[in-house]
Amino acid sequence: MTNNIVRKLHIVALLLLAMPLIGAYSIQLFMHEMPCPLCLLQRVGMLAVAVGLLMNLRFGVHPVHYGLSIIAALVGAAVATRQVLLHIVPTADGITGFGDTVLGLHLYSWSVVVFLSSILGVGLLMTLMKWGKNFESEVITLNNVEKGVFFLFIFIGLANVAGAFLECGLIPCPDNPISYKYW
Amino acid sequence: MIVLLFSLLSLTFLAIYFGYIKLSFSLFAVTMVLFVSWFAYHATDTLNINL
Repeated sequence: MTNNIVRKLHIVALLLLAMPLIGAYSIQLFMHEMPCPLCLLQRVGMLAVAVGLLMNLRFGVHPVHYGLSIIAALVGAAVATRQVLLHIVPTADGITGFGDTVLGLHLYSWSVVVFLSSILGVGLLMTLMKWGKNFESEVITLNNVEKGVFFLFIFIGLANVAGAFLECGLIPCPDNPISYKYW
Repeated sequence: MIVLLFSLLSLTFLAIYFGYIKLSFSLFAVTMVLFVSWFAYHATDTLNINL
């Protein structure tokens, strides 16, 4: 693959990664469904997966950058799997899962899908990549679309800082939050 | 802690955007260590689960 195609694939991958983050934040904002501590950790994991891909855009494609994304996706998948296992058996009073479902799956189940898809996607990118022998990092000038992707992730990150602060403050979040601490 | 994790990731994005590669790696490393520590705490302590 040419460098141009690789960069476009990275943009597509980053936008796909941004979709569940924007969706989860929209559900929090418009449907007033408060995210639990593990849900917030899954958002952290998804943002961390984006770090490696953004580094590829800015500093050039490097195996170490892909490695960062895979590590983040594995930790995120562990968090999401943990939550799936917590809710996989309905409780005695008939409660099934935490929060509403989207297309039949709870958000934490979608989270597992996102993290495993991220590992698959990074694997495919690494396989299809034409690797050279020179791995020296350089700062690459971004075009407007790439800048837009950067600003999108910076915005999502800062929006989550605000959301998490309003929900929990600086102390650990409650296990089953029902309202904002500062709103 | 969650606020700190999101803040560190936002700073990481800014560091990448402004081209600070070593700072980006350092921020990412700190974030992941705190991320795993916080998850381990939640999995074993807050939710009262024995692993």
